[in-house]
Amino acid sequence: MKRALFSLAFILCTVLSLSAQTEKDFSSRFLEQEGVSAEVNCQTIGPDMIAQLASSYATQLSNEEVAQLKNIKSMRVVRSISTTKVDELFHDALSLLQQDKGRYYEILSYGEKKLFGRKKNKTIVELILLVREDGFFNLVNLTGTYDEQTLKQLISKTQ
Amino acid sequence: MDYKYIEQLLTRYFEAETSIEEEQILRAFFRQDNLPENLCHFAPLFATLDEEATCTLPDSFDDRVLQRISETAQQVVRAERPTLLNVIRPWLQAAAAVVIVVLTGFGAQRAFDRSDNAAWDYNPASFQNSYDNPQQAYKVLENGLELFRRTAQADSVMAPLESKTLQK
Amino acid sequence: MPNIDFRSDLLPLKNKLFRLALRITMDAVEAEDVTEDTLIRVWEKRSELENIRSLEAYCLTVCRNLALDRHNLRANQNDSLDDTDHEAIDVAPSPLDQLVNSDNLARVREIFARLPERQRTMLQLRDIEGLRHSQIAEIMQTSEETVKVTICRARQRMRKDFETIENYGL
Repeated sequence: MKRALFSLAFILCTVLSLSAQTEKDFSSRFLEQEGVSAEVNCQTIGPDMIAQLASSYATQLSNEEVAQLKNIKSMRVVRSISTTKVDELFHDALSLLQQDKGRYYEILSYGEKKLFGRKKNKTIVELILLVREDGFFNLVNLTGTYDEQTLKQLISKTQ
Repeated sequence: MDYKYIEQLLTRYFEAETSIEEEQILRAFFRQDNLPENLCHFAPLFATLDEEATCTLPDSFDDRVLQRISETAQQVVRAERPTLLNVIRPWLQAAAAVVIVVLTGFGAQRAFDRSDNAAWDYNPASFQNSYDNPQQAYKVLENGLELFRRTAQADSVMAPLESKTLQK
Repeated sequence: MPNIDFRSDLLPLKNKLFRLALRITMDAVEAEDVTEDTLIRVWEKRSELENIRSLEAYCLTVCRNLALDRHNLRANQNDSLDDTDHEAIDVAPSPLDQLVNSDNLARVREIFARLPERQRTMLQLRDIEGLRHSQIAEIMQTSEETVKVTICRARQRMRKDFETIENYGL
Protein backbone atom coordinates (compact mmCIF):
# COMPACT_ATOMS: atom_id res chain seq x y z
CA MET A 1 0.00 0.00 0.00
CA LYS A 2 2.79 2.35 0.93
CA ARG A 3 4.65 1.51 -2.22
CA ALA A 4 1.66 2.23 -4.41
CA LEU A 5 1.11 5.55 -2.73
CA PHE A 6 4.72 6.56 -3.08
CA SER A 7 4.92 5.71 -6.76
CA LEU A 8 1.64 7.45 -7.35
CA ALA A 9 2.69 10.56 -5.53
CA PHE A 10 5.96 10.69 -7.41
CA ILE A 11 4.35 10.34 -10.81
CA LEU A 12 1.66 12.82 -9.93
CA CYS A 13 4.24 15.37 -8.92
CA THR A 14 6.13 14.88 -12.14
CA VAL A 15 3.04 15.16 -14.29
CA LEU A 16 1.81 18.16 -12.38
CA SER A 17 5.14 19.90 -12.58
CA LEU A 18 5.20 19.29 -16.30
CA SER A 19 1.85 20.89 -16.76
CA ALA A 20 2.26 23.58 -14.14
CA GLN A 21 2.48 27.16 -15.33
CA THR A 22 5.81 28.16 -13.94
CA GLU A 23 7.62 29.62 -16.92
CA LYS A 24 9.36 32.95 -16.67
CA ASP A 25 9.53 35.30 -19.57
CA PHE A 26 12.90 36.41 -20.89
CA SER A 27 12.81 39.88 -19.31
CA SER A 28 12.48 38.33 -15.89
CA ARG A 29 15.50 36.16 -16.49
CA PHE A 30 17.42 39.08 -17.92
CA LEU A 31 16.59 41.32 -14.98
CA GLU A 32 17.55 38.59 -12.57
CA GLN A 33 20.86 38.26 -14.29
CA GLU A 34 21.50 41.98 -14.28
CA GLY A 35 20.72 42.13 -10.62
CA VAL A 36 19.41 45.20 -8.91
CA SER A 37 20.78 47.41 -11.58
CA ALA A 38 20.30 51.11 -11.97
CA GLU A 39 21.00 50.73 -15.63
CA VAL A 40 17.55 49.63 -16.74
CA ASN A 41 13.97 50.03 -15.85
CA CYS A 42 11.12 47.74 -16.74
CA GLN A 43 7.50 48.48 -17.55
CA THR A 44 5.05 45.64 -17.32
CA ILE A 45 1.59 45.18 -18.74
CA GLY A 46 0.03 42.04 -17.37
CA PRO A 47 -2.71 39.83 -18.78
CA ASP A 48 -5.45 41.54 -16.85
CA MET A 49 -4.44 44.99 -18.10
CA ILE A 50 -4.18 43.72 -21.65
CA ALA A 51 -7.69 42.41 -21.38
CA GLN A 52 -8.83 45.71 -19.97
CA LEU A 53 -7.26 47.63 -22.83
CA ALA A 54 -8.81 45.32 -25.36
CA SER A 55 -12.27 45.98 -23.96
CA SER A 56 -12.27 49.57 -22.76
CA TYR A 57 -10.05 50.93 -25.55
CA ALA A 58 -11.74 49.01 -28.31
CA THR A 59 -13.25 52.17 -29.75
CA GLN A 60 -9.91 53.95 -29.96
CA LEU A 61 -8.08 51.08 -31.51
CA SER A 62 -8.02 50.12 -35.13
CA ASN A 63 -9.35 46.74 -36.15
CA GLU A 64 -5.85 45.48 -36.65
CA GLU A 65 -4.80 46.61 -33.22
CA VAL A 66 -7.77 44.90 -31.64
CA ALA A 67 -6.92 41.72 -33.50
CA GLN A 68 -3.32 42.01 -32.39
CA LEU A 69 -4.30 42.40 -28.77
CA LYS A 70 -6.01 39.06 -28.99
CA ASN A 71 -2.64 37.37 -29.35
CA ILE A 72 -0.91 39.22 -26.58
CA LYS A 73 -0.94 38.02 -23.01
CA SER A 74 1.74 40.28 -21.61
CA MET A 75 4.27 42.91 -22.55
CA ARG A 76 7.39 44.00 -20.80
CA VAL A 77 9.58 46.82 -22.01
CA VAL A 78 13.06 46.96 -20.58
CA ARG A 79 14.81 50.19 -21.40
CA SER A 80 18.17 51.58 -20.40
CA ILE A 81 18.15 54.70 -18.30
CA SER A 82 21.05 56.30 -20.07
CA THR A 83 22.94 55.88 -23.29
CA THR A 84 26.02 54.65 -21.56
CA LYS A 85 26.71 50.94 -21.10
CA VAL A 86 24.20 50.16 -23.86
CA ASP A 87 26.69 47.93 -25.66
CA GLU A 88 27.14 45.80 -22.58
CA LEU A 89 23.39 45.45 -22.17
CA PHE A 90 23.05 44.22 -25.74
CA HIS A 91 25.90 41.84 -25.21
CA ASP A 92 24.41 40.45 -21.99
CA ALA A 93 20.96 40.03 -23.45
CA LEU A 94 22.25 38.34 -26.54
CA SER A 95 24.45 35.87 -24.74
CA LEU A 96 21.58 34.98 -22.40
CA LEU A 97 19.40 34.29 -25.40
CA GLN A 98 21.99 32.30 -27.24
CA GLN A 99 22.99 30.28 -24.20
CA ASP A 100 19.67 28.56 -24.12
CA LYS A 101 19.55 27.24 -27.66
CA GLY A 102 16.79 24.76 -26.92
CA ARG A 103 14.60 27.49 -25.61
CA TYR A 104 14.99 30.58 -27.77
CA TYR A 105 15.47 30.62 -31.49
CA GLU A 106 16.37 33.47 -33.75
CA ILE A 107 13.58 34.68 -35.99
CA LEU A 108 15.07 37.81 -37.51
CA SER A 109 18.34 39.64 -37.39
CA TYR A 110 19.09 43.10 -38.74
CA GLY A 111 22.57 43.81 -37.47
CA GLU A 112 22.04 44.77 -33.91
CA LYS A 113 18.29 44.52 -34.13
CA LYS A 114 17.24 41.00 -33.30
CA LEU A 115 14.03 39.11 -32.86
CA PHE A 116 14.01 35.89 -30.91
CA GLY A 117 11.15 33.58 -30.16
CA ARG A 118 10.14 30.72 -27.93
CA LYS A 119 7.87 28.01 -29.13
CA LYS A 120 5.70 25.55 -27.33
CA ASN A 121 4.90 22.74 -29.72
CA LYS A 122 3.62 24.63 -32.75
CA THR A 123 2.71 27.87 -31.04
CA ILE A 124 5.02 30.80 -30.54
CA VAL A 125 4.48 31.83 -26.96
CA GLU A 126 7.15 34.45 -26.52
CA LEU A 127 8.79 37.15 -28.61
CA ILE A 128 11.89 39.06 -27.67
CA LEU A 129 12.93 42.11 -29.59
CA LEU A 130 16.29 43.75 -29.05
CA VAL A 131 16.65 47.16 -30.63
CA ARG A 132 18.66 50.33 -30.09
CA GLU A 133 16.51 53.41 -30.40
CA ASP A 134 17.87 56.93 -30.07
CA GLY A 135 20.92 55.49 -28.39
CA PHE A 136 18.95 53.63 -25.74
CA PHE A 137 18.81 49.88 -25.16
CA ASN A 138 15.34 48.45 -25.72
CA LEU A 139 14.09 44.99 -24.99
CA VAL A 140 10.46 44.44 -25.84
CA ASN A 141 9.19 41.13 -24.55
CA LEU A 142 5.79 39.84 -25.55
CA THR A 143 4.19 36.67 -24.38
CA GLY A 144 1.08 35.30 -25.96
CA THR A 145 0.07 32.93 -28.71
CA TYR A 146 1.33 33.50 -32.19
CA ASP A 147 1.50 31.60 -35.38
CA GLU A 148 3.26 32.57 -38.59
CA GLN A 149 0.50 34.75 -39.80
CA THR A 150 -0.13 36.75 -36.67
CA LEU A 151 3.59 37.19 -36.22
CA LYS A 152 3.87 38.58 -39.71
CA GLN A 153 1.14 41.06 -38.93
CA LEU A 154 2.90 42.09 -35.79
CA ILE A 155 6.25 42.89 -37.28
CA SER A 156 5.33 44.49 -40.54
CA LYS A 157 4.15 48.00 -40.91
CA THR A 158 0.89 48.04 -42.69
CA GLN A 159 0.13 51.24 -44.40
CA MET B 1 12.09 -8.71 69.76
CA ASP B 2 14.51 -6.35 68.22
CA TYR B 3 12.72 -4.11 65.81
CA LYS B 4 15.74 -1.94 65.22
CA TYR B 5 16.37 -3.50 61.85
CA ILE B 6 12.79 -2.93 60.76
CA GLU B 7 12.93 0.65 62.01
CA GLN B 8 16.09 1.22 60.02
CA LEU B 9 14.48 -0.24 56.95
CA LEU B 10 11.47 1.93 57.48
CA THR B 11 13.51 5.11 57.70
CA ARG B 12 15.31 4.18 54.53
CA TYR B 13 12.02 3.25 52.90
CA PHE B 14 10.75 6.78 53.30
CA GLU B 15 14.00 8.03 51.81
CA ALA B 16 13.47 5.73 48.82
CA GLU B 17 16.78 4.08 49.66
CA THR B 18 15.54 0.53 50.05
CA SER B 19 15.99 -2.22 47.50
CA ILE B 20 13.13 -4.30 46.22
CA GLU B 21 14.12 -7.17 48.46
CA GLU B 22 14.21 -4.93 51.53
CA GLU B 23 10.78 -3.62 50.65
CA GLN B 24 9.55 -7.21 50.47
CA ILE B 25 10.86 -7.73 53.97
CA LEU B 26 8.95 -4.72 55.22
CA ARG B 27 5.77 -5.88 53.52
CA ALA B 28 6.10 -9.36 54.99
CA PHE B 29 6.75 -7.92 58.43
CA PHE B 30 3.66 -5.74 58.41
CA ARG B 31 1.41 -8.62 57.41
CA GLN B 32 1.88 -10.12 60.83
CA ASP B 33 -0.52 -9.74 63.70
CA ASN B 34 0.67 -8.44 67.04
CA LEU B 35 2.76 -5.62 65.77
CA PRO B 36 4.46 -3.37 68.32
CA GLU B 37 2.59 -0.22 69.12
CA ASN B 38 5.14 2.19 67.74
CA LEU B 39 5.02 0.48 64.37
CA CYS B 40 1.47 -0.78 63.98
CA HIS B 41 0.13 2.43 62.47
CA PHE B 42 2.25 1.81 59.37
CA ALA B 43 0.44 -1.42 58.74
CA PRO B 44 -2.42 0.02 56.67
CA LEU B 45 0.02 1.66 54.28
CA PHE B 46 1.61 -1.66 53.43
CA ALA B 47 -1.61 -3.57 53.57
CA THR B 48 -3.09 -1.33 50.91
CA LEU B 49 -0.15 -2.05 48.66
CA ASP B 50 -0.78 -5.76 49.11
CA GLU B 51 -4.41 -5.38 48.33
CA GLU B 52 -3.83 -3.27 45.25
CA ALA B 53 -1.47 -5.88 43.91
CA THR B 54 -4.25 -8.42 43.84
CA CYS B 55 -6.42 -6.29 41.61
CA THR B 56 -7.04 -8.14 38.37
CA LEU B 57 -9.09 -8.04 35.21
CA PRO B 58 -12.25 -10.04 34.80
CA ASP B 59 -12.07 -13.28 32.76
CA SER B 60 -14.19 -11.88 29.96
CA PHE B 61 -11.28 -9.61 29.12
CA ASP B 62 -9.22 -12.42 27.65
CA ASP B 63 -12.00 -13.45 25.29
CA ARG B 64 -12.58 -9.91 24.11
CA VAL B 65 -8.98 -9.18 23.37
CA LEU B 66 -8.31 -12.52 21.74
CA GLN B 67 -11.29 -11.93 19.50
CA ARG B 68 -9.82 -8.64 18.30
CA ILE B 69 -6.44 -10.22 17.81
CA SER B 70 -7.75 -13.13 15.77
CA GLU B 71 -9.43 -10.73 13.41
CA THR B 72 -6.15 -9.05 12.61
CA ALA B 73 -4.30 -12.37 12.72
CA GLN B 74 -6.36 -13.78 9.89
CA GLN B 75 -5.35 -10.86 7.72
CA VAL B 76 -1.73 -11.40 8.60
CA VAL B 77 -1.83 -15.11 7.81
CA ARG B 78 -3.35 -14.46 4.43
CA ALA B 79 -0.68 -11.95 3.53
CA GLU B 80 2.12 -14.10 4.79
CA ARG B 81 1.50 -17.00 2.43
CA PRO B 82 4.52 -16.49 0.24
CA THR B 83 3.25 -17.22 -3.24
CA LEU B 84 4.81 -15.37 -6.12
CA LEU B 85 1.57 -13.58 -6.87
CA ASN B 86 1.32 -12.34 -3.32
CA VAL B 87 4.81 -10.97 -3.47
CA ILE B 88 4.33 -9.24 -6.80
CA ARG B 89 0.79 -8.12 -6.15
CA PRO B 90 1.58 -4.82 -4.36
CA TRP B 91 4.02 -3.89 -7.09
CA LEU B 92 1.49 -4.79 -9.78
CA GLN B 93 -1.07 -2.62 -8.08
CA ALA B 94 1.41 0.19 -7.79
CA ALA B 95 2.38 -0.14 -11.42
CA ALA B 96 -1.25 -0.18 -12.51
CA ALA B 97 -1.93 2.96 -10.53
CA VAL B 98 1.08 4.67 -12.04
CA VAL B 99 0.09 3.72 -15.58
CA ILE B 100 -3.38 5.12 -15.05
CA VAL B 101 -2.07 8.40 -13.74
CA VAL B 102 0.53 8.76 -16.47
CA LEU B 103 -1.98 8.03 -19.21
CA THR B 104 -4.41 10.49 -17.70
CA GLY B 105 -1.66 13.04 -17.45
CA PHE B 106 -0.63 12.61 -21.04
CA GLY B 107 -4.19 12.63 -22.17
CA ALA B 108 -4.73 15.88 -20.36
CA GLN B 109 -1.55 17.35 -21.81
CA ARG B 110 -2.64 16.39 -25.30
CA ALA B 111 -6.04 17.93 -24.81
CA PHE B 112 -4.42 21.06 -23.55
CA ASP B 113 -1.94 21.41 -26.33
CA ARG B 114 -4.65 21.32 -28.87
CA SER B 115 -5.84 24.66 -27.63
CA ASP B 116 -3.35 27.44 -28.18
CA ASN B 117 -4.21 29.15 -24.97
CA ALA B 118 -2.86 26.33 -22.89
CA ALA B 119 0.43 26.48 -24.77
CA TRP B 120 0.98 29.77 -23.01
CA ASP B 121 2.62 28.35 -19.93
CA TYR B 122 3.61 31.40 -18.00
CA ASN B 123 2.49 32.20 -14.52
CA PRO B 124 -0.04 35.06 -14.82
CA ALA B 125 0.79 36.17 -11.31
CA SER B 126 4.35 36.96 -12.32
CA PHE B 127 3.19 39.93 -14.40
CA GLN B 128 2.60 42.83 -12.08
CA ASN B 129 1.21 45.85 -13.85
CA SER B 130 3.48 48.85 -13.70
CA TYR B 131 0.52 51.12 -14.23
CA ASP B 132 -2.97 50.84 -12.86
CA ASN B 133 -4.11 53.57 -15.19
CA PRO B 134 -5.10 52.10 -18.56
CA GLN B 135 -4.11 55.28 -20.33
CA GLN B 136 -0.53 55.01 -19.22
CA ALA B 137 -0.49 51.32 -19.94
CA TYR B 138 -1.80 51.98 -23.38
CA LYS B 139 1.03 54.37 -24.14
CA VAL B 140 3.58 51.78 -23.20
CA LEU B 141 1.77 49.17 -25.26
CA GLU B 142 1.66 51.41 -28.29
CA ASN B 143 5.32 52.27 -28.09
CA GLY B 144 6.22 48.63 -27.77
CA LEU B 145 4.07 47.57 -30.66
CA GLU B 146 5.50 50.36 -32.77
CA LEU B 147 8.98 48.99 -32.22
CA PHE B 148 7.74 45.61 -33.34
CA ARG B 149 6.14 47.03 -36.45
CA ARG B 150 9.41 48.56 -37.51
CA THR B 151 11.18 45.27 -37.03
CA ALA B 152 10.72 44.00 -40.53
CA GLN B 153 12.16 47.13 -42.10
CA ALA B 154 15.12 45.47 -43.57
CA ASP B 155 18.37 47.28 -43.62
CA SER B 156 20.51 44.17 -43.48
CA VAL B 157 20.36 40.42 -43.92
CA MET B 158 17.27 38.70 -42.63
CA ALA B 159 17.12 35.19 -41.25
CA PRO B 160 14.26 33.20 -42.78
CA LEU B 161 11.03 33.07 -40.86
CA GLU B 162 9.96 29.46 -40.38
CA SER B 163 11.67 28.55 -43.64
CA LYS B 164 9.24 30.75 -45.49
CA THR B 165 10.30 34.15 -46.65
CA LEU B 166 8.64 37.11 -45.16
CA GLN B 167 6.37 38.87 -47.53
CA LYS B 168 5.11 42.37 -47.12
CA MET C 1 12.71 -9.88 20.84
CA PRO C 2 11.90 -12.06 17.86
CA ASN C 3 8.42 -13.29 17.12
CA ILE C 4 6.33 -11.97 19.93
CA ASP C 5 3.56 -14.37 20.76
CA PHE C 6 0.37 -12.79 21.97
CA ARG C 7 -0.68 -15.44 24.43
CA SER C 8 2.65 -16.08 26.06
CA ASP C 9 4.30 -12.67 25.84
CA LEU C 10 1.62 -10.02 25.94
CA LEU C 11 -1.43 -11.45 27.63
CA PRO C 12 0.39 -12.21 30.91
CA LEU C 13 1.06 -8.48 31.27
CA LYS C 14 -2.63 -7.66 31.27
CA ASN C 15 -3.06 -7.23 35.01
CA LYS C 16 -0.03 -5.04 35.47
CA LEU C 17 -1.26 -2.86 32.66
CA PHE C 18 -4.75 -2.81 34.09
CA ARG C 19 -3.55 -1.75 37.52
CA LEU C 20 -1.47 1.05 36.07
CA ALA C 21 -4.33 2.22 33.89
CA LEU C 22 -6.63 2.10 36.88
CA ARG C 23 -4.19 4.04 38.98
CA ILE C 24 -4.10 6.78 36.41
CA THR C 25 -7.70 6.89 35.22
CA MET C 26 -9.32 5.86 38.56
CA ASP C 27 -12.07 4.23 36.51
CA ALA C 28 -12.26 0.48 36.05
CA VAL C 29 -14.14 0.57 32.75
CA GLU C 30 -11.73 3.03 31.22
CA ALA C 31 -8.81 1.09 32.61
CA GLU C 32 -10.07 -2.04 30.89
CA ASP C 33 -10.37 -0.22 27.59
CA VAL C 34 -6.91 1.23 27.95
CA THR C 35 -5.49 -2.21 28.72
CA GLU C 36 -7.16 -3.70 25.70
CA ASP C 37 -5.99 -0.89 23.45
CA THR C 38 -2.46 -1.16 24.78
CA LEU C 39 -2.24 -4.86 24.04
CA ILE C 40 -3.68 -4.45 20.56
CA ARG C 41 -1.43 -1.53 19.74
CA VAL C 42 1.71 -3.32 20.89
CA TRP C 43 0.62 -6.43 19.01
CA GLU C 44 0.17 -4.50 15.80
CA LYS C 45 3.63 -3.04 16.12
CA ARG C 46 5.31 -6.28 17.04
CA SER C 47 7.47 -6.45 13.93
CA GLU C 48 9.10 -3.14 14.92
CA LEU C 49 9.88 -4.33 18.41
CA GLU C 50 12.58 -6.84 17.63
CA ASN C 51 15.35 -4.81 19.27
CA ILE C 52 13.46 -3.81 22.31
CA ARG C 53 15.12 -4.41 25.65
CA SER C 54 12.05 -4.84 27.77
CA LEU C 55 8.65 -5.62 26.36
CA GLU C 56 7.13 -5.04 29.76
CA ALA C 57 8.56 -1.54 30.03
CA TYR C 58 7.38 -0.75 26.53
CA CYS C 59 3.87 -1.96 27.25
CA LEU C 60 3.71 0.02 30.47
CA THR C 61 4.85 3.14 28.65
CA VAL C 62 2.22 2.74 25.98
CA CYS C 63 -0.37 2.02 28.64
CA ARG C 64 0.51 5.09 30.64
CA ASN C 65 0.42 7.31 27.59
CA LEU C 66 -2.95 5.98 26.52
CA ALA C 67 -4.33 6.42 30.02
CA LEU C 68 -3.03 9.96 30.20
CA ASP C 69 -4.47 10.77 26.81
CA ARG C 70 -7.86 9.70 28.03
CA HIS C 71 -7.63 12.29 30.72
CA ASN C 72 -5.78 14.89 28.66
CA LEU C 73 -3.14 14.97 31.31
CA ARG C 74 -0.28 14.71 28.89
CA ALA C 75 -0.39 18.40 28.13
CA ASN C 76 0.37 19.12 31.72
CA GLN C 77 3.26 16.74 31.95
CA ASN C 78 6.61 18.25 32.71
CA ASP C 79 9.75 16.89 34.18
CA SER C 80 9.76 19.21 37.14
CA LEU C 81 10.29 17.79 40.57
CA ASP C 82 7.80 20.25 41.77
CA ASP C 83 4.72 18.05 41.44
CA THR C 84 1.88 20.09 42.69
CA ASP C 85 -1.66 19.18 43.47
CA HIS C 86 -3.10 20.52 40.26
CA GLU C 87 -1.91 17.39 38.52
CA ALA C 88 -4.14 15.20 40.63
CA ILE C 89 -7.12 13.96 38.70
CA ASP C 90 -10.55 15.12 39.60
CA VAL C 91 -11.53 12.62 42.23
CA ALA C 92 -14.12 14.27 44.42
CA PRO C 93 -11.63 15.75 46.85
CA SER C 94 -13.15 15.10 50.22
CA PRO C 95 -11.29 16.90 52.98
CA LEU C 96 -8.99 14.69 54.97
CA ASP C 97 -11.10 14.92 58.09
CA GLN C 98 -13.99 13.22 56.38
CA LEU C 99 -11.87 10.15 55.94
CA VAL C 100 -11.50 9.56 59.64
CA ASN C 101 -14.55 7.42 59.88
CA SER C 102 -13.89 5.25 56.87
CA ASP C 103 -11.97 2.06 56.80
CA ASN C 104 -8.19 2.34 57.11
CA LEU C 105 -7.51 0.78 53.79
CA ALA C 106 -10.03 3.05 52.13
CA ARG C 107 -8.26 6.02 53.66
CA VAL C 108 -4.94 4.93 52.30
CA ARG C 109 -6.44 4.34 48.89
CA GLU C 110 -7.95 7.79 48.96
CA ILE C 111 -4.63 9.33 49.90
CA PHE C 112 -2.97 7.40 47.13
CA ALA C 113 -5.49 8.77 44.66
CA ARG C 114 -4.75 12.31 45.74
CA LEU C 115 -1.12 12.13 44.82
CA PRO C 116 -0.06 13.97 41.68
CA GLU C 117 -0.04 11.62 38.69
CA ARG C 118 3.71 11.22 38.39
CA GLN C 119 4.09 10.35 42.06
CA ARG C 120 1.12 8.06 41.90
CA THR C 121 2.34 6.25 38.84
CA MET C 122 5.89 5.82 40.06
CA LEU C 123 4.72 4.54 43.42
CA GLN C 124 2.42 2.11 41.67
CA LEU C 125 5.21 0.83 39.47
CA ARG C 126 7.58 0.42 42.38
CA ASP C 127 5.55 -0.59 45.38
CA ILE C 128 2.88 -2.61 43.63
CA GLU C 129 4.48 -3.85 40.47
CA GLY C 130 7.96 -4.19 41.92
CA LEU C 131 9.89 -2.52 39.11
CA ARG C 132 13.45 -1.27 39.55
CA HIS C 133 14.17 2.44 39.46
CA SER C 134 15.92 2.01 36.12
CA GLN C 135 12.87 0.39 34.58
CA ILE C 136 10.61 3.09 35.93
CA ALA C 137 12.96 5.74 34.57
CA GLU C 138 12.63 4.17 31.13
CA ILE C 139 8.86 4.09 31.26
CA MET C 140 8.51 7.62 32.59
CA GLN C 141 11.27 8.85 30.29
CA THR C 142 13.21 10.49 33.02
CA SER C 143 16.34 9.89 35.07
CA GLU C 144 16.79 7.35 37.84
CA GLU C 145 17.60 10.16 40.21
CA THR C 146 14.28 11.80 39.45
CA VAL C 147 12.51 8.50 40.02
CA LYS C 148 14.12 8.13 43.41
CA VAL C 149 13.28 11.65 44.49
CA THR C 150 9.71 11.36 43.27
CA ILE C 151 9.12 8.08 45.04
CA CYS C 152 10.65 9.52 48.18
CA ARG C 153 8.24 12.42 48.08
CA ALA C 154 5.31 10.14 47.32
CA ARG C 155 5.98 7.87 50.27
CA GLN C 156 6.52 10.77 52.65
CA ARG C 157 3.34 12.38 51.45
CA MET C 158 1.43 9.18 52.03
CA ARG C 159 2.80 8.92 55.53
CA LYS C 160 2.14 12.54 56.34
CA ASP C 161 -1.45 12.50 55.09
CA PHE C 162 -2.15 9.24 56.84
CA GLU C 163 -0.75 10.54 60.12
CA THR C 164 -2.80 13.69 59.73
CA ILE C 165 -5.96 11.62 59.49
CA GLU C 166 -4.96 9.62 62.51
CA ASN C 167 -4.47 12.80 64.47
CA TYR C 168 -7.95 13.93 63.54
CA GLY C 169 -9.27 10.72 64.97
CA LEU C 170 -7.52 11.12 68.33
